[in-house]
Amino acid sequence: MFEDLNMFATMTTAVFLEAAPFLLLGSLLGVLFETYMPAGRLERLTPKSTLGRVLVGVFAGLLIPTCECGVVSIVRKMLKKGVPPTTAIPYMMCAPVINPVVLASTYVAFQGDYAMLSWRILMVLAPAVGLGLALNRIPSQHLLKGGLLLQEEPSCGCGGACCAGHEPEGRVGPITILARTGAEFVELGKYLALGAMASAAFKVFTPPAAMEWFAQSPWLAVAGMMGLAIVLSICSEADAFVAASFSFMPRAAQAAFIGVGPMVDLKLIAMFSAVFHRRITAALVIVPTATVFVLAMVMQGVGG
Amino acid sequence: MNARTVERLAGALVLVLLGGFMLGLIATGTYWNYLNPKFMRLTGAAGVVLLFCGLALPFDRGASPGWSNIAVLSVFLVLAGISAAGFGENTAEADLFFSGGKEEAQPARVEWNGQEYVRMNTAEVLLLIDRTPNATGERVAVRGFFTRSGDLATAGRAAIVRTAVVCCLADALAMGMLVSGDAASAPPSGAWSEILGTIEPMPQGWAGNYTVRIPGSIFTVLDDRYVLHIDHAAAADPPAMPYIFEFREKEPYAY
Repeated sequence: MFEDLNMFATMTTAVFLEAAPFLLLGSLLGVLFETYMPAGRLERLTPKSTLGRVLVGVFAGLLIPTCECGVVSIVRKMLKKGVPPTTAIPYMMCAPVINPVVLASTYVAFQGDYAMLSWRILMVLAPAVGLGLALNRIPSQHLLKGGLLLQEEPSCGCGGACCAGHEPEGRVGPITILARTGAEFVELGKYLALGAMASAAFKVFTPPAAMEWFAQSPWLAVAGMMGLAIVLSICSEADAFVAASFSFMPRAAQAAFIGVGPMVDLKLIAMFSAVFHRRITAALVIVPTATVFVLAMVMQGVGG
Repeated sequence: MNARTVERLAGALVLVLLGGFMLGLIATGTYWNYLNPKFMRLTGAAGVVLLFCGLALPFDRGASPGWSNIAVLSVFLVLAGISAAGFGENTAEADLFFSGGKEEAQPARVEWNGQEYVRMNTAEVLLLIDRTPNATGERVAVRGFFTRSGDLATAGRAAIVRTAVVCCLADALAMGMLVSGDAASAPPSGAWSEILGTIEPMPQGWAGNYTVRIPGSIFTVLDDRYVLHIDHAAAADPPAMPYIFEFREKEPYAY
């Protein structure tokens, strides 16, 4: 019993420590973005056409690579600054996969298998583009959880420009930047910690034979591997190596594992629920999950 | 001191403790128990930034870290403390994952009975098998621990395995091979050994999915086409860091 508790504690700590630097970086970038980027500037810089905006979001990860742990914080600030959801949401979903590091690690893990790499990209691209287009007409701030905007306003209601200790935007010093970064980290860190605990509990207390039961049919295998990706919450840089190790599973199930994990996992669901409106959170979980499942079954069908 | 100030101070304390914990893991050399050491600088930098964030937080009167957030992170810190304190108290196979130290580099090959064996880790053996059309006859020297748990016990077989970690313990996989030969029956489960062995096709009737539970690993990967026939086995101390953190495709292998 003590060994299990110790392993649970160690696993929780490992997942948290792995993600923490990226969450911190995301928090810092988000605060810098919020502080120094004038409202509406980025919106004016993005293309006018809907498709153009979606494509900018999809491929922005190549220029601003970030993992799933940090991207939620950045996207929250983007949306608050008026970046259209058609750009921000595809960026959030694609950046953890469509970036040089993760593409390379997938290529290596599957030993130069371009088909697997292509399926992974497709599984991320399809729901990201779909959700980006679907959210086209919704104002950015409406995606965010209602209380969040109020919570971040100073309690005095001055909008951050009074004499009660809030420096007006544009004259914000490093101490304030660090303090705000810390506060942001504490807020989202809670969800990271909860996700890490849930993931560790599954890993420590589930019998290893459970996964083999899922290998009985392609449907079960795909569903089982997707479920595993969601509960394990493995970083997108490493998940391909884990997927490749499940050699007894169909390739489609392995692809589904690396397709869904960077978009939906326990720590992300917790963060989504903290940041986004309930319906948006539901969409961010259901749409990628359903799309990846369907694409994996197509992959199984065509022998991909 | 009003409630808001206390909240900021509590948030600041959590940040300082988190940063201090990260730096403490590096300073005490226990970092590798959680993450691949290649991330050590990243974690160290994050630890320093968190310390500064914690020191700055009390001075920003607009900040409100939130009591529920502070409470959950405090629970995490307790778990982290339990984990760090428990390294010396694990028993049985889990013990193998919680020892440390440094070791000297080993020669790339070792000779025994007139034959040369290439030193590599068990993950590298699996990679070698994957990229070699016919791996039969390859002579390798591997370190690992014997396991006979799970299905192996039922089938009366043994495997030599080590746990490989790409990023953190969450992606840990035990990797290894079934072993054959007279020497395979002697070492007890959990015993660390250096094996000089020859890769051979899996004997008739040995094939199957063996479910083996290794503490800390999601899954145990055993090659399903080949076994390692033990030519010579000797008890060995666990490596300084028992996990495999590096994989190479040519000599000198990471071993």
